[in-house]
Amino acid sequence: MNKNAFRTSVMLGMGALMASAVLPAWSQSSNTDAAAPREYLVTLARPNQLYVIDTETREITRTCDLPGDSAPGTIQLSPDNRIAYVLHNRWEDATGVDLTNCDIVFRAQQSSGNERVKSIASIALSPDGTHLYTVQNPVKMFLDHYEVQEPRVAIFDTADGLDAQPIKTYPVPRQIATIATDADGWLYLGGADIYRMDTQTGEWETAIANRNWDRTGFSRPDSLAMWSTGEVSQEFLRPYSVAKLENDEPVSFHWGISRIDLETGEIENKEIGPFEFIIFSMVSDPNSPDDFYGVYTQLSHYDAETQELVKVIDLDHTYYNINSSYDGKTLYLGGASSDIAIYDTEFNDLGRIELPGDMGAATLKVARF
Amino acid sequence: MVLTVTPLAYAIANSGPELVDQHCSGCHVAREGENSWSRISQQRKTPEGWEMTIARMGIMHGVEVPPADRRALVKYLADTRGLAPEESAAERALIERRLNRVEEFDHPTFQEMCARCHTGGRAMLQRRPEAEWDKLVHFHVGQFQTLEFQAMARDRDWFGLARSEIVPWLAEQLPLESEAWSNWQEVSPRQPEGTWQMWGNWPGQGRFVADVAVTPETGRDRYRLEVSGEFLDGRPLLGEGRAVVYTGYEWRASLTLNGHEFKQVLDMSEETAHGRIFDDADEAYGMQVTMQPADAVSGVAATLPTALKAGQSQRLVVMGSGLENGEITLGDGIEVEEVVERSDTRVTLQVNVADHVAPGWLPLTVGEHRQDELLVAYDEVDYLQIEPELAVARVGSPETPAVSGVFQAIGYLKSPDGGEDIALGDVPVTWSVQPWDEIAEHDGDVQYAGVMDKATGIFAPSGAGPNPDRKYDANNVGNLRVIADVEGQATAVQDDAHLIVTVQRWNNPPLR
Repeated sequence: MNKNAFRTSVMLGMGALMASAVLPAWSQSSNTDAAAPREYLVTLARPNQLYVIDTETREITRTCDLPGDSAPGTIQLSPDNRIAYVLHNRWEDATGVDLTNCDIVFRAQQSSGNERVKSIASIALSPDGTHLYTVQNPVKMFLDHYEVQEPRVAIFDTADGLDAQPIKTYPVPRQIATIATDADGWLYLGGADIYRMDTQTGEWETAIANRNWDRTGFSRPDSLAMWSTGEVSQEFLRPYSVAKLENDEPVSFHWGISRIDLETGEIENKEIGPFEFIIFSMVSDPNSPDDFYGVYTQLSHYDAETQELVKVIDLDHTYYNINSSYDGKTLYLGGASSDIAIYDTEFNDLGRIELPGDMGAATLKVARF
Repeated sequence: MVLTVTPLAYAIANSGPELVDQHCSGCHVAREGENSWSRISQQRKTPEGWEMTIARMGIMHGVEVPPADRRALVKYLADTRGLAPEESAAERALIERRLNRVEEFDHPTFQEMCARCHTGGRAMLQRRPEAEWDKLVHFHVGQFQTLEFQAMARDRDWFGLARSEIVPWLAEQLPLESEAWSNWQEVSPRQPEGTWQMWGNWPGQGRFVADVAVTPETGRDRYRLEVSGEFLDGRPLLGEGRAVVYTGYEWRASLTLNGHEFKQVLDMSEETAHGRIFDDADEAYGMQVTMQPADAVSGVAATLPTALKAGQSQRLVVMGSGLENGEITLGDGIEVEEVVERSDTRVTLQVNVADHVAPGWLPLTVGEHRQDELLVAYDEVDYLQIEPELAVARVGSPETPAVSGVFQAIGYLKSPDGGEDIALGDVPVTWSVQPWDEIAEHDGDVQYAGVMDKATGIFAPSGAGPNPDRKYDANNVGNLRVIADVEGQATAVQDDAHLIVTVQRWNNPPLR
């Protein structure tokens, strides 16, 4: 679906949100403040710590203890980047941590009574930071059986403190993982397809068809989307793998991306290069949106314009999550083990930052404040 | 062998229902009828299946059942809600922990939907009505909430498809009520006390035959066993153990043989029992065994070995019944040099096989008993087949003992007249490993993954954990080609198999 087709069907009620949308604080202040913001890496590691790491000194600036275990640790940042909202405690709790002093400023324990609720990497903030969204996957645990319930988007008021309850919920399809909001307040939900929801009404429609795309000569795509990055390039990026088919038989395998520009709402879905090895997560170059960097056991660079694998290196071990500095010059590789690897975009090894525990599936975010 | 006339349905442990009431009925409420509890009475499964269920109740719901009660519960549930022999027949390999197999099922997506995480056999060893299979799907998504997001689930509506396509198929194939089960409940259960003869081929140790004395022990269907026998080369085989018979035919024993601790699984529903002895921590290390009661009427049942090589004097053991008297002949070219031992159930011979013996079946007679296609003579092996063709071994650690690669090379004679080729059993070979492909060669898999014993075909994996000497800090994993070369013949004959050495499993239930 193209953007215009969607815009003609924009639902009423979005006007207010669009008008009240604010840009992230750092982008306002960066032009006016004399002191440039410092850049930090934010991630989690076992057993229950959140780390704030100064990218210049490569030192751990702050270690914040979380209530309950850190895993898996999907992170989103407040618009001013000073609060990290974390999905942890085995996907059940959403906790807001003030990165400047480790204070717990928000906490929603989503399970209650006989209902266990998990949000599988689904966490996002409204552009003004006043609302937090999760996709809740509830299951009713009765005495002798379980009943799987319909998933729902839950909306929390971030001012609700340490016992936050949803102020509103809307039903959504199953299998939604990462989610994000754009500057206009649309909530994007990465499920079988990528849906776009009006958070005022709960109405949603397909923004990018993936499983249900109508592309002759392509298989259904497969997309592992667990890492809530994209803050640097202001995009919601979901890599997928796909086979090109001839007579229903695969003839070649490719990496592709589904992408939403979170400033403009523009959507994109395309192949970016050959599938030759597994990639867990990708970021685009903030200065060159068609250059993509991927990580797993290799660090790779794809040029979507030529659909070529530009460069690939073997890593010393597996990393799950990749992110980029705001100037686009440095790549950070986190997750899996206990060290964050630093590379430049030519893949020169710039060193490691050691953490006391394994990051596992935690997001590696880049914050500026 | 003593047979009682008590149908299984009446032979349940008295304490069974009370134990279910005591430990389970807090959640599984009593339903209509006596001895009926929600969920529990709508399922049937193997002793291992019930054991895993009770284990899960402990791990996930904090249920604490004392060990003695737990054993009694498994016994009661398997006896009253078990599977008939016909219902477990297709999945004996899974029960016997033979894991190096590739499963096949008559459903287009069952393996992607279900058997990507556990064996398909795990489902095949359960019986439930449709509503129960549906509850099982709810349980899967409810308990393992990332299930829908994993590969081969996130590309489809897993929950929807599981309920609409898998549940009805399972319910049709694996219903709670069955004729086989109704009939089995009327059958008098096996009383195994008495003397048995057991034979098999212990990897690395050789072929053996032993007497097994089974005597009753306190407790229903509980037995003690004493094992006394020897390998073909005369080394003794001694052991003892304890067994329980579930559901009237499912023999489960813990036994020690020559100091090695094993588990034993047998299907006792037929007169002659078949099954496997295996190492509980290293399930690849095991052997198929046959156990025949001393009073079975079988004539010549089996020989060890099953093939005699030309130009050698060798030991031959014939097992069966009614073997004590009469002439012993093995056909042209085979001379009985010595009758070493002879009883009603076993004859041990030293035989000389002529250089010129005609390759093929040997007519074997012991008194009035004759078998024309049991024992075979050969000069050269025509071709080999390594078993298994594909094996998975696992690196070891103190918490997770290594899982070995255990191979056998089965020799074959090609049929000269286009008939069926003749299997010779495992033949002497030299074992080795090579890299499976260029990547394995480049990554030094042969060097790191472990050691193949060239005489026994047993591959011992290396230790677990990231190896800083390896690319990616990889574990001592490997992708290997296992090669067997026939020994002792002019014509070179070789076969190869695939061995994947991978990381540990951390979750090792009896049914994978």
